[in-house]
Amino acid sequence: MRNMLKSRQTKKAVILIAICTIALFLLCCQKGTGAKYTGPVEKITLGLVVIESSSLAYIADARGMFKKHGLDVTIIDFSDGPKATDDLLKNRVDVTAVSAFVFVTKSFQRDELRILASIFRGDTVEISARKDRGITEPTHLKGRRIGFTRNTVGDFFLETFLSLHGITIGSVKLVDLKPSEIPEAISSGFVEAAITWEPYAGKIRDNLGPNAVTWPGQSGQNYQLLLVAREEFIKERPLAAERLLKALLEAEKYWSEHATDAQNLIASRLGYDPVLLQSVWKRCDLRVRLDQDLVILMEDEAKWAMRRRLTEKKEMPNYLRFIHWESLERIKPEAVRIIH
Amino acid sequence: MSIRTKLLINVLLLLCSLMIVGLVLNIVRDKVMDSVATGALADQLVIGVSDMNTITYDYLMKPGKRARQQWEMKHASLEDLIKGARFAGEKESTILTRLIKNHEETALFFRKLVENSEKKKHSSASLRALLDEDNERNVTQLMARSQIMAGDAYSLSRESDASIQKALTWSVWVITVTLLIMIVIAGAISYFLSRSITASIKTLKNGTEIIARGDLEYRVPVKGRDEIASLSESFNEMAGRLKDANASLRAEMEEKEKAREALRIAGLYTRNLIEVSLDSLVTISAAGKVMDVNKAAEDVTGVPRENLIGSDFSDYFTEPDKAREGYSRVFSVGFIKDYPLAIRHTSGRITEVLYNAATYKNDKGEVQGVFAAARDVTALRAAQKALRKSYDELEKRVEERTAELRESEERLTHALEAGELGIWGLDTKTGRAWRSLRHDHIFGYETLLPEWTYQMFLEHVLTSDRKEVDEKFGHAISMGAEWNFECRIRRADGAVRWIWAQGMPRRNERNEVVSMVGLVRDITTRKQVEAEMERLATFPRLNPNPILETDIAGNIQFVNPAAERLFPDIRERGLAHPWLSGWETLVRTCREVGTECSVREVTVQGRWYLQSINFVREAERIRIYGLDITERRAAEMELKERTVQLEAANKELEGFSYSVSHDLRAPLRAIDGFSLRLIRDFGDKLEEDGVRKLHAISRNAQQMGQLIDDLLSFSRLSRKEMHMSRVNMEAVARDVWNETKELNPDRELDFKIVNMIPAFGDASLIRQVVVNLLSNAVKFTRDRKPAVIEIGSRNEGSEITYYVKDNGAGFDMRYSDKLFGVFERLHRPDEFEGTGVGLAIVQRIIHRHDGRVWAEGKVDGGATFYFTIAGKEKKFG
Repeated sequence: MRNMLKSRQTKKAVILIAICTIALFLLCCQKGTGAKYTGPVEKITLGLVVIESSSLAYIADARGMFKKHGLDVTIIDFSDGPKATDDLLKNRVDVTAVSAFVFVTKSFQRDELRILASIFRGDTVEISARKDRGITEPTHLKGRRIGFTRNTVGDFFLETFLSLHGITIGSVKLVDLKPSEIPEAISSGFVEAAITWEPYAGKIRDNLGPNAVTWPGQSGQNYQLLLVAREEFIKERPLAAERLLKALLEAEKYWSEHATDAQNLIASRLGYDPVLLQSVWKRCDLRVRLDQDLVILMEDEAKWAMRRRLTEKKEMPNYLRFIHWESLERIKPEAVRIIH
Repeated sequence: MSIRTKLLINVLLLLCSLMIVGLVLNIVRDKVMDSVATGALADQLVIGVSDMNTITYDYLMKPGKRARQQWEMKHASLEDLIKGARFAGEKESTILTRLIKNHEETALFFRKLVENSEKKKHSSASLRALLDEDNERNVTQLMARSQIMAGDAYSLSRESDASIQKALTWSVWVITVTLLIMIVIAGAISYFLSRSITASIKTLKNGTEIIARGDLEYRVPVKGRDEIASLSESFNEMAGRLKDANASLRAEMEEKEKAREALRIAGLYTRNLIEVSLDSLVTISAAGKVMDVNKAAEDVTGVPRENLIGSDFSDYFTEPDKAREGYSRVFSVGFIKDYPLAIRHTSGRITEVLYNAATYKNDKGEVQGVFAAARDVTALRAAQKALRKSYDELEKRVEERTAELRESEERLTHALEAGELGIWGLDTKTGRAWRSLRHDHIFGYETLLPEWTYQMFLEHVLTSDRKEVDEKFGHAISMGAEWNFECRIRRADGAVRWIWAQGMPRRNERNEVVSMVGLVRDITTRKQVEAEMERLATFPRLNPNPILETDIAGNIQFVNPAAERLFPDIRERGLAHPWLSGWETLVRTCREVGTECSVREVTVQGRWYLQSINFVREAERIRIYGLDITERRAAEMELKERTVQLEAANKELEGFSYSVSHDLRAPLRAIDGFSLRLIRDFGDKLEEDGVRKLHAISRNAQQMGQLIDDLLSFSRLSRKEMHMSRVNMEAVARDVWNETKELNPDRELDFKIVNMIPAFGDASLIRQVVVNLLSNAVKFTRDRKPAVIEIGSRNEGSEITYYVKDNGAGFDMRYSDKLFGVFERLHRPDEFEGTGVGLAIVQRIIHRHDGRVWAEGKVDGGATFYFTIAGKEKKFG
């Protein structure tokens, strides 16, 4: 009888230990999953240029990632980066996403802008030319009529490209055109070559067919879209800035794990044909990061702007002080590769 | 030692072994983790030194504040990393010490470089040359140390990798050896344990087999103190008890043999007694099977004894169910007495018997079966049957007559109920009457009154009818004739109803009327139907239009007064009358095709009639309703003529428009062209006022040309054929906006599209509406920076409301009714250009889509234009 009692007690102890072990295991698993933010909500106004490089922000918005990280984000659409930056400086929006080129041009005028992160890198700028005009090598561009859009990133990349191939900017005939006019201008033969970006570059390839010859136009330098805020905003609302970065990092994860769904979402949001956008996605990198090459790119662009007299300033701004890497480093240290 | 204890020791030993393995694995893991951490630190050093070199080159290439700041930051962070690093090996410690030294020296050379650069800004040419020379040396030293640092960091990384490799190899060996020892220990314990248990079980198995073969003297040898030894002891004890039980069983069997012989002799005596009985005797088992019978039972059934035994007892009776019922009763009561049954002999002979039966029990009082004796009563039964037959025949005849009477009464009751007839009988001497329940219902009583008299009946008859009813009654009694009348009564609930009643007098043997029997019925509904039919009959008679009805053979059955008046000879002429022309075709259509209603037009004496012909299928009648439509036809003819005239006028107007567009615009172009040529050729000879006036001529000519173009577009809109389809309004708005934006490159325009729901309409016309409204908004926001224009929509049930909102000049709501008029303008031409046709076009297009258009605005407060279009397909006029 006593033995039976003992045996029952042993069984009970074993079952209890097993239950505790399973409960502990489940608790550990639970701890690992991402919990939804339930604290006070921060309101942010986010200015975005309606183009594919703003994709991470659109994904975070559509998938409720801002809300998940305690943000109530109002997105304001802008037709171009300079206007978005102006509204940021006028305090009409809290944060905006603009290209490094636009940021550099504004950095000569105002010094309260701060870069939180780069959220898009692209290599979509392309130089196209007509083979029937005898252009098959970059060096053949010398003395030709080349279509471009003045004071844009295309203008900057064209000069770099020509310079790397031993051609001075003065030895070609530049024709200033709107981006939407370039495909028609090269198809009709009004210009013999042109520098432009997607989706216009794709239109040129379609129009010219086998008569087209193309080269990557960025000479290894990336077009980067930067998440920019005023210094005052970062100082007063550091938590809002960090939550914004967390939401964008989650959008980055969604992009890498559900690429097709994410691409369809962007095509639908921008009203673009998903097939047309395929050529863009192949040449872009949607990650939230801060790399040393951003500093090099901005200094290069700034030097070009000073040479072109787009600014009266003659001294190179210190771009290190424009970069706020502390927030991103706190959330994801490996994403910060600025040397410091 | 017990098996349980041995197993517990085995488990404990295995647990100890596992703990040792866990301990070893933990030590191995700590060692590997330490090596990995050292490796990670070495990697960080490699990256840090590499970053340091990159930024050094960057500064040397482009000396500036940014590169200098980054160099200082990186130097500080690398210093923290190097000074915080700890390496166990002697070799690694030596490399780390060298790394610290070179790192400190790079700072000296870099700062000298920076210092010299600053000095150079304010120095003379000769001093600058000296500083350059110094800098060359500094750069060389800086680069040399940077290279050494890179090599050292790489060496540290390699040493760490080797250390990780070594730790991993060591851990693999330790784990392998531990596992081998574990396997050997577990194997040895399991072997010894199983051997000690199986040997005891084998001995026990052999002993069991020997005893099973019958050797009850054998005992199993007992070894040890475990559970199997205890089992062997119990087994030996059981074998001893088995031996004793075997001896007592043999003695008992001998006693039983003696008792069985005595029983056999007693049975033989009882058998003889049974066999001599004249009644058939039988014993039946609890399952109903025959267990024993005597000779009498064989005789009455004709079945031999051996066949009877084991068969079902009920099979030999003419009524097996009744036999089984009797058998069951014996079980429930314990016996039955004189239970009548009949036995069928195999030859077919029936023997009626009375059964007496009782249950028989064993020593314990449990019922074993039934013992039954049957007595032959065939002769007695034959006499009883003859008596019963004569009684039954008498009974049957009485029943038949009773059924006939009941049926006759039911038929009468059904007939009276179906005809809703009440019956009554009146004793003319006493005035009292008997009635059916229906009679009293007719007079408004729910149940039969206890008494009813002729006087009570008269009180129910309305005063106005009472006298006539009473007189008819008196006449019937005195003449012995039928009493038949209709009158109105007031029921018990006050309602006035019509009744019909009939009574037949009955006479006695002296030919005196002594009673009256009759029927009564409520005929109110019939009276109401008659009145309604009378009323309906007045409709065709009073109808001012002709109505006529014929039977299927073409005979005119009815002509209303209006038809008589209009066609006085129609009855005389019949089907030859023009109003009935084509009558045969009508009849065929109605009867063969099944058409129940058709319409046609006929002319009679120069007047047009619209005829509606109805076929009344049940009555097989053709009914024709006519309507004089002479005046209406005249009006239609006139309208047709006017339409032709209007179409001609419209064509003439189109021709005029064409003439305007080509003939008027040509001279206008000439005026414009010549005015400009005058300015160009003779501008320097004309005075300033002359040139201004020529410009005014040119401007006005252009404006007039625009007016003519807009007017023509507006007039063409009404004739344009509409191609209806689903329209993606968002795409239209975006497309139009892109065009508008390109046309206004200098304007600062902020455009928003809010929820544009797709519409159903003519895509090109709807696009024109969006173009006109957006260009209007752009025009009237000319002074706004930025101009904010919003286009959107909302679903409001069957239609969708779209709007275009701007923050422009707006308008005064007092003049909102003029907005959509042709050439109507609320602003001066010098304020905002335009011809005043754009919004008129918008209104014309929306009206063609069965939609509405309106606007709201405020002077200098912006304007909002609204229009509605159906969201899904519907018919457009």
